[in-house]
Amino acid sequence: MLSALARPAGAALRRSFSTSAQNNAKVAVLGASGGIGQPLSLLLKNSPLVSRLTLYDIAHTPGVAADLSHIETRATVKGYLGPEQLPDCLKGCDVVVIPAGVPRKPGMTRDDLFNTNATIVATLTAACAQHCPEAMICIISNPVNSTIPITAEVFKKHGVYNPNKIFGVTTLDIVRANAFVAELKDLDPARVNVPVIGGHAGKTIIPLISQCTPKVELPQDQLATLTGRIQEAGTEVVKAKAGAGSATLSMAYAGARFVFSLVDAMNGKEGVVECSFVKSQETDCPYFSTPLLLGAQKEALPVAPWCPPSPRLSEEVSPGAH
Amino acid sequence: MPKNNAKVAVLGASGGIGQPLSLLLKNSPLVSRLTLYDIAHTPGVAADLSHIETRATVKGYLGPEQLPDCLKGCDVVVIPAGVPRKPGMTRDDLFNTNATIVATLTAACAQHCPEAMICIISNPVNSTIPITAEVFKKHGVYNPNKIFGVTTLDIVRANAFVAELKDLDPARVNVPVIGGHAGKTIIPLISQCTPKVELPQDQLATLTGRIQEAGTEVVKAKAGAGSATLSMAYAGARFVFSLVDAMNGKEGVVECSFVKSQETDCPYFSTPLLLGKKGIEKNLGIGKVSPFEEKMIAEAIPELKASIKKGEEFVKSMK
Repeated sequence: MLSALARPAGAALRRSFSTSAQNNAKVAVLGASGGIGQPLSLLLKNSPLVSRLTLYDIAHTPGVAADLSHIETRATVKGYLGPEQLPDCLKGCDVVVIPAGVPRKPGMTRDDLFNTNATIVATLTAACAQHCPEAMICIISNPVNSTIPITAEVFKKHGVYNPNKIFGVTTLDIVRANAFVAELKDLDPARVNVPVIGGHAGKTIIPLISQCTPKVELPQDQLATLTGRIQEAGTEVVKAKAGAGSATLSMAYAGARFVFSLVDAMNGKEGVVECSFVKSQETDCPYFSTPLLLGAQKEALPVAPWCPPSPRLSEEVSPGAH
Repeated sequence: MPKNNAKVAVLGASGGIGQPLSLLLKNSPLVSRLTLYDIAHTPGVAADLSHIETRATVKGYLGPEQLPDCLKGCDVVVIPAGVPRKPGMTRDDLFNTNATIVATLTAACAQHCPEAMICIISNPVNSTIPITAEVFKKHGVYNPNKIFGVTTLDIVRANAFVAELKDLDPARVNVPVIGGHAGKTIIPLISQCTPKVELPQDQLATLTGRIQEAGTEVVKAKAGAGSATLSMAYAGARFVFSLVDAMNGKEGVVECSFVKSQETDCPYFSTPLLLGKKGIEKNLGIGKVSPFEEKMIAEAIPELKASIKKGEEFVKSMK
C-alpha cells in the first residue's frame, strides 16, 4: 500500500512557514494567460516554495504578471510575450509546467485536440530542450497520453532526454477519485488517497479503489459507477460548461499540487509520492502512470508495491495508452 | 457558527475575480459550504470546483430566481460582481452599472441572509458600501458591524511594494492602509509599517503614489483585458479567512476595511479593525500619523464624502 500522498497547502496564504531552507524554486508556466494558466500561476505565486515565477504565452502575459506581482509573497513574477521571449522565460528554470493549448468542447474527446495541441507542445518542449534541458517538465496539455511521448521524442532529438524528468500531470484524476470516494463514504477528502494509474483519457484512467486509504468497501455495481465517474469526470465538466471550456480551476489546483510535491522532493523532503504518466517498465506499454517516489534531481523511481491490474482491464487499457 | 463550518456565498462567481476567488475559498478547510451565484456559467464553475479534494460542498446558482437559495443560511457573502475598468476609466466611471448590481444583490442579502457578514469588492467601493448600508436600512436589518468594503488589496500591495523596496520578506511586512479605495483616498500609513522602515521623502511620495495608482497600473498593463483579478482574488480570500477565523473565536484578528466609522467626520472610512464573532469587535482607529499622512487624510475626505453621498442618493432615488 502507498504511504500518504503529499498534499500541498492549497491556497497557501503567505503566513504558512515552510521548514525547508531551500525555498528557491524557479518555475515557468507556459500558457500562463489561459483558463488553467492564470489560476495555476496564482497558486504558484501564493507559495513560499517559489522564488521566481516566469509566465509565457502568446497574449496577455504582461497584464497577468503585473496583476500577480502585487501579491505579498516572495516570488518575483515576470511576463514573457511571444516566441522571441520564450528562451528568457526558460533559462535557469527548475520546473516548467505546460498547460498551453485548446480545451475540449462538448462532444470532443481529448484526442480530438491532438492536431492543435501536438504542435504547441512540440514547439514549447523544443524550447525547453534548448534552454532548460535540466528542468523538470510537467505537461498538462491534452491529450497527455500523446503529448508525453511527443515531449520525450523532442528531448531525444535534442540529445537531452531524461525519462526521470518528464511528467504527464494526471493529478486531477487522483484528486477527483479522492473527492468522489469521500463524498460516497462521508469521509474528509483530505484524508482519502486513491492511486490512479494507466493514462489520462476515458478508459485509460484506472482508479485503484482496492488500494484506497482508508480502506473502503463498495458493492460491485457502486464500484463500477464510481470508476466510470472518475473516468468521465473531465467530460462531466466539459458538459457542465456547455462550450465555455473544460476543467480550469480544479486543474489549476491539481497542477499546483503536483508542482509543490515535485519541489518539496527536489528540496530533499522524503516520502513524496505522486502518480504521473511517465516512461515506464511496469507494463508492456512504454508510458504508463503509476505511483512514483519523487526525489532530488536524479531520482524519480516508480514505487515498488503496485500490483498489475486484472488481465481484462489490462487488455482494454493497452491499445489506447500507446 | 461552529468551527470550520463557514457557509460562504460568492455573488459574481463566474467573473474574472469570482472564479479564482471561489477556487481559493474551496481550497480552505475553514469553509464547509460554498454557494456560487451569477447570471451565467455558474453550473460549470461549480462542477469544476466540486472535483477538488476538500470538504466544502459547492453548488452553482444561475439567475435571479435562484439567488435566494444561494443566500439562505450563509455566514459570509462576498460580492465581486460587476464590470471592471478599462484603460482611462476611474473606479467612479463604473458607478452607473455597478450601483444597480450591488443594490440588487444586497437587497437579496437583506431579505434572505440579513445576519450574514457582507463583503463588497465591487467598485467603486467608496460608493457601494454606502449603497449596501442604505439598502439594509430600507429592509430594517442594518448592522454597521457586518458590512465591509474590501480594501485588502491596497494593504497587500503596500506590503509587496515596501518589501521590494527594502529587500524584506513580504510575508513579514504590515502596512496599514486607511481612508477609502480609490486614488488619493487610499492612504498608506508607512509611518506605522512593521517592521519600521525609513524612507527619504521623495521615495516615500513615489511609493505612496504607486500604492494609490496600483489598480490603474494593472488596468494599463492589461490593455483592455480587464483589471486586477488574481491579486484581488488573493486579497478577497485573505479578508474572508480573517473574518471567518474571528467568527470562529480566534483573537487578535485585525484587518483594514471600509466601514461605517466615527474616526473622522466622514461617515464611512477605512481603519484597522479588530474582528470578532459579530463582525467589527472594535475600531482601532487611525493611531499616530506623520504630517505627510495627516495631510493626505485631510485631502481625501472631501472626495470620500462626495462618493458616499453619491451612493446614498442613488438608493434614495430608487423606487
